[in-house]
Amino acid sequence: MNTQLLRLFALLGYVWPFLCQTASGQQQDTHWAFQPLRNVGVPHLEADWPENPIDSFILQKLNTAQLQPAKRATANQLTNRLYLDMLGVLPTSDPLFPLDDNVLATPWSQLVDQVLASPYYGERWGRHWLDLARYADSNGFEFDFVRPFAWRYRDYVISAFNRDMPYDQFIKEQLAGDEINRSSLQSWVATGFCRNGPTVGNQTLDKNRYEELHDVITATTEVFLGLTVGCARCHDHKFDPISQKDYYSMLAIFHTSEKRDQFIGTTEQRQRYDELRKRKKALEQRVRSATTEPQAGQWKLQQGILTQSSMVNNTRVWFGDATWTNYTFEVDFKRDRVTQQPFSFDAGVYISVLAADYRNGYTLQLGASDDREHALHYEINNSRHSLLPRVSGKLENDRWYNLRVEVGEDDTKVWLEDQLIFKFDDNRHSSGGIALGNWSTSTQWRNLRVTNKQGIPLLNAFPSLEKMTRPANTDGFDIEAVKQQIEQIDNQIATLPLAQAITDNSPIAKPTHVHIRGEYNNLGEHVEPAIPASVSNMVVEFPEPAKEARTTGRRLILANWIAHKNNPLTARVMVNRIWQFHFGRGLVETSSNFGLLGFEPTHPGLLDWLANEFIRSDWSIKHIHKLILESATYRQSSQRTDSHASDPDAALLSRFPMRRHDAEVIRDRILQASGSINLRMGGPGIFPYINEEIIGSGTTRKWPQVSQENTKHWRRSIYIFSRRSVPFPLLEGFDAPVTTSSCSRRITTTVPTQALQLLNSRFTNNQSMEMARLLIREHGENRRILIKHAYLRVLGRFPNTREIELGLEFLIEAENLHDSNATEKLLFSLQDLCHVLINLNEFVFMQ
Amino acid sequence: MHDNTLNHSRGFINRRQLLQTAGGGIGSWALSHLFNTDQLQAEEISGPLTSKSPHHKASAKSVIFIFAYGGPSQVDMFDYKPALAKWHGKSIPVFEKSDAFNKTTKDTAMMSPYKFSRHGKAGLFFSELIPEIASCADDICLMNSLHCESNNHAPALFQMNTGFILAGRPSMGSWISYGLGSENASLPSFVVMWDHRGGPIGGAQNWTSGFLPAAYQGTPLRSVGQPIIDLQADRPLRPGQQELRLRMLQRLNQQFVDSNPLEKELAARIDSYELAYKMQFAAPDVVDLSRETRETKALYGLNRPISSYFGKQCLLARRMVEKGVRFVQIYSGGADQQLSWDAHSGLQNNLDQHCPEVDRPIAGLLKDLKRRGMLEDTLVIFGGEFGRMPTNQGTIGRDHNPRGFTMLLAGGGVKGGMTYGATDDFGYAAQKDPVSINDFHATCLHLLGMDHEHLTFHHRSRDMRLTDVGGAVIHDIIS
Repeated sequence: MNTQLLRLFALLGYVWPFLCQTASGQQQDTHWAFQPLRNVGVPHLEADWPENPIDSFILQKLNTAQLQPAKRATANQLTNRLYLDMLGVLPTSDPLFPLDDNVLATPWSQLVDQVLASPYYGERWGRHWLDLARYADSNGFEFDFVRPFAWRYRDYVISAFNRDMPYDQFIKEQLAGDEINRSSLQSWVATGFCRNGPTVGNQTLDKNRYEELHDVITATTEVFLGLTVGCARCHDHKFDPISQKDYYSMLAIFHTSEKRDQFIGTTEQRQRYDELRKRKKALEQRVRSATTEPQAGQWKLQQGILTQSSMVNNTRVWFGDATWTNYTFEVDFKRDRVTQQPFSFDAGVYISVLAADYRNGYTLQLGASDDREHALHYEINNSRHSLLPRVSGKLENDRWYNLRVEVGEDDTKVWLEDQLIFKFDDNRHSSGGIALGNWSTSTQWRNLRVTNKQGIPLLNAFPSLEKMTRPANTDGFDIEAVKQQIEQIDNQIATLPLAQAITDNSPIAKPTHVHIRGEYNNLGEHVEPAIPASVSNMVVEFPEPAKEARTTGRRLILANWIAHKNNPLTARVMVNRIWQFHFGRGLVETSSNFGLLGFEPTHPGLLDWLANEFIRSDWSIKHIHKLILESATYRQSSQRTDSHASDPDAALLSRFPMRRHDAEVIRDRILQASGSINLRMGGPGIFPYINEEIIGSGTTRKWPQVSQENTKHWRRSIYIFSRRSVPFPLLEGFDAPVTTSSCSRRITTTVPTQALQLLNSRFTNNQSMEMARLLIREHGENRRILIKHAYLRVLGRFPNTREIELGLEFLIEAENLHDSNATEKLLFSLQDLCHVLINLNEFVFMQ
Repeated sequence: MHDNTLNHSRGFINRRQLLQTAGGGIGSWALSHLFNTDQLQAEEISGPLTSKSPHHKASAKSVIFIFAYGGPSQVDMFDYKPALAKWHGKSIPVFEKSDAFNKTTKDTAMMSPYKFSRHGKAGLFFSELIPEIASCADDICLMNSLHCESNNHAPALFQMNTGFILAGRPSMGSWISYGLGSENASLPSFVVMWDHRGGPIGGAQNWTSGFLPAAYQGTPLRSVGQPIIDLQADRPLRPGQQELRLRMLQRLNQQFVDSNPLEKELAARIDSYELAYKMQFAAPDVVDLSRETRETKALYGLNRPISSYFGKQCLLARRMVEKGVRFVQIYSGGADQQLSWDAHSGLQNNLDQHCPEVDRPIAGLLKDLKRRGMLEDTLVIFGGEFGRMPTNQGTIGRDHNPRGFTMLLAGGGVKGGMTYGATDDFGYAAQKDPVSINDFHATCLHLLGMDHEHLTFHHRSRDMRLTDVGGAVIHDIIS
């Protein structure tokens, strides 16, 4: 027992004497998870069942509980289980399917090697890591801005799993990639782990920053160490030996780090980046000017009615005579609509008098300020200067209004519907015709009359459009098109070698203090960086960085400690996670809490044995997979029998626990069964169809409208853009986690809305149709054969005789419902069958 | 509260009929235990939404939370402050620059342009903006002393909905669904409707189930067209097509259950299809207003263009609560902040627009609930994420005010005809009996029979609560 630890206990004992004894009666200093890994011997059992040491541990426990292992699953079940568990899809090429129920087409260990070598493995197991790493493609919170390069972290994770990157390296890169290799893009990208949390806004900068650092500390300790340190932010941890000071010592490690979007690429790429940014800036400028400068708009003059319908901003026409001085001008106008999201204070119907051209004059803005008031401006080159206070008033859509302006020698009076709304005396503009226009609205004008002082008509109707002047440049300028161009540039920039990273901007560490009650501006004693001392007896120093250092080096020291083979938690926590994702629950059920409040392992010997194997194999995750997959334990049937009553949750592994597939597997498998799946890997996120109304549930649109999905939308679900304010409905419905904080284990719920999604969504109906088309294309029109292949595509097995008979009955009955020719009847009825199959329990549960 | 009318609703095929209409040999299949009874009672449904008993005797069974997004002006509607007239245009001493959201906000008082008068036996003050609501004074408790922790919309919304200013925590509706389950399995337990101009800022983060199971998240309900997303097939099906599919589905599922009889989840999933099927009829039924009388519709203001949209939502809320929906939230104001209650400028234009939209509908809701005997166990809440400053922002508008604002409560065991708490003389900050958001949530949970300290969910090694580590029940408002 080291002295530090004793000191800590003394401290804890002083504060809360009662806490030295935990609920489980275990002393903190003997808490199993903080003890070094034990060298556990494999139990010797007289039994044929074990295939490898895992089974011996499992069987030993089963024997104690007087349980028998379950019989082996069928060859077909096993193949499907292996593929769905490891890859999340079924074999993509031909028949790995065993034809006989009990004989595998390929030896098991060879199958295991095949799936471990598949690139789809990283897409399945990387997803588990992304849950832990609270990965998302946007900031969350109020504006939920996009994180254009976040996807590189997702791809990094996929690739790390596929390459079987040693887990110790995986840890180090995610916490301190920038301190390991400054010239490697991947190293920088890996630190995205520290950027994945939601961004916090709307408070003081410091307060925001400490929220973000809290997220980083919490995620780091939970994910890599299975420790919940977060509670110690405001007070000493009530149960675990983590003091508030420990928390702030940890903060001192990250305190100097800052967010940085790091560019690591060739000179050409750099040039391209600069060029794209320049182009983007120019386009943005164009949009800006299009929304602030006058546009010609789309003008029409028919049967005396002048119409402007483009809805772009500030469109004007000018006509009349610059020499007019005293005149009365009258016109009727009607506004049809206002764009949904106006540049709110600029929207309105614009009418200028005494105007030299469409940019200079006295301009009325009717229906201003979101249709709450009317304004009068003195306008020079479209730059508006208020002339009089605004007056209350609004315009109703689709109603004709009469406007009369009397330009006199002493003053000018404006009547709207015979109500005097403005009267002004200003002679800065002396010359003028008339300009009409609008902003974010669509307007019609009619009954124009201009008369001079003597009552003689100057104009009795609108002059022809040719005689009016208007801005020449951008008639029909399409803001949306330009915005799309900007989006395309963003997409190109997103593919450039940029990392959403963190780094220390200086080797000089920012001083760190305890924050009293966790308040960001309430500083207590000064703290030095340190690891949470009580969980390990290793001595870790944080020396001053070398003079030439670019960073404080503190994160790397932390990472080296976490990834050290003597750290009692790291290997245990990770092998337990691997176990959990294979079997649905870990040997330690609370897989992110190995502290005093966490569960004890069901098989402590096995946990340590696996952890030792993990370290011995140079932290090879695939090595642990292989051990588990080749065990007899993994290959048990999932069928539950009465003899399992004493192991209701299969915690002792007296069978393989049946469980529902993750949301992503369900969607991916539907796409695979329909043949639509696009297995392209990597790159920026995709935006499949989401119902319009869900997109509109916030204040601004956060998801593009997709009228019809195509192959670019049919990629695996891990590539769906993770927008925090618009969770993808199918995934959310099937319990994909919210990305606010690390999720160690998904909750599985069963609710009617899931049934509604699979029954009624556009996605399932379209995909079942795609599948029916594909089946007929590939297998002709023999119903019996079609049924067989439908089963094979969806369930990865052939139907039995009874199922074929049922299917035939169903198809005939369904054909009778469809009222068309024979070919279509077959297609539609087959769609009905495919739709049924993708709704089956057997389809959504892993056996 | 069971829905016994479902079997009679148009188009509904009950299980027995389903079996009878099945052709050929299919009809002879014994489907499942599900088809043994004609009616599926909510209690029979196992799963996350099973109806659960509260911690103590509840006075409220359901909640209708009318959320005036943008921050309604309490000093122009509920919280009468005659001092503002005296101080009009003068600096008020309580103003602190750091409270204001907008830099231009001045410290000079702006009197309300609206007249206040006393209403009901207890003489509660309401302004002329909401005469209809005022006529329900004796059923209303005005909680005048709320305060929250952010002067900006998104964090304040998140706090009002989830107890925390940061996004991602479970919302109040989710907690309540989690705690009490649903009384009608064929409708969602937590329903959200939003303004025709758009949703509130932060979107779905306002009705998320956070770390609670997804089953408890708010379900958006549309007041036009298909009420629930994916309630009906994306493209219309042939008559009988869905029933045929479902019959085959349940048959094959049953086969799978038969070979795995002990896996409860499999049976639960079969149930969920049964419920989904029922929901397809129950949800359109609940939004079908054709059987509401003209008088009822008028009571909710459906006969006036200004209030017809929101009135319909209030009427839908009553209908849903009647059918056992646990928590209904309606947003008034949405999309662009200027289209919400966010009256930074043009105070009168804003209130003259929004108050008539909601005045009659809310009053109609209260009166309708009362005459149906439902007000006693339905808690109605009306308020926003914060209030507005008693000072002038410089544009005849009021800035956000997190330090003092009003929530209107009625029904569900709340005392009527009372005010609770008070702001200072200017309506600037809660002074007497201040109510934190935690207190407010604790009180709502209490009315629903739940102890806010015991409604917990274990997450990240902690027993999480809607009220975090705070909150005290305000017993004074409970009858």
